[in-house]
Amino acid sequence: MSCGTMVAETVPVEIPAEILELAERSGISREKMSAILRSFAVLEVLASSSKLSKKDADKLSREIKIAAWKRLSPYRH
Amino acid sequence: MSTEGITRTSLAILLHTDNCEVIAPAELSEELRAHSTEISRKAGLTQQQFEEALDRLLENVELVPLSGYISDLKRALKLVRDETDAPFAALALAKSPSTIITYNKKHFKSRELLRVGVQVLRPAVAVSRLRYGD
Repeated sequence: MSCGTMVAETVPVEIPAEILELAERSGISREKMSAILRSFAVLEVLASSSKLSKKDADKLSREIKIAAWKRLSPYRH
Repeated sequence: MSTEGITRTSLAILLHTDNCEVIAPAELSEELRAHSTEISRKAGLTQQQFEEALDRLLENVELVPLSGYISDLKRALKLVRDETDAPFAALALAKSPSTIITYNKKHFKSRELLRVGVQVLRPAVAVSRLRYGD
């Protein structure tokens, strides 16, 4: 991810072999598990780069959920 | 930014138990994009940074439209404490057996959801379950 004024670094993260083996036994490929973990890593980088407080993030989250619910609620019956 | 708010909004996070697919209501993702200017401004990120991160985040997420969980929406309303969480619960029901991973477990009626094949777990617990194969 590019980070504007921040320094972008690539940090290799080793996924524990036992998790990969468990995933493969469950029919999940290593590639898929890797992709899932990469999504969460992006989220963590985004979170650590942000200036939002937990309170503000919760407030914003609720605003977005309410906006989505306004669109969906007519279909609840 | 706290991951707690945005995590729940952007990813839900719903895992389909059988294949570990990460899923989310498409409408929530659309609203997230619609609010991208506001989110990036408040978070102190450029809009480009935010949208790029969101793209990366969602590239492995299956976005399910309303048609994929509409029939479960009414039932889901009885399984959440805040109706705005109903889309997550409805999608989890539609994809049952599934897991809702959330920092706000109290927003969901976990026991009732478990009876219909939906686990509600905090992220740390979900990781330990994966690790130990429960």
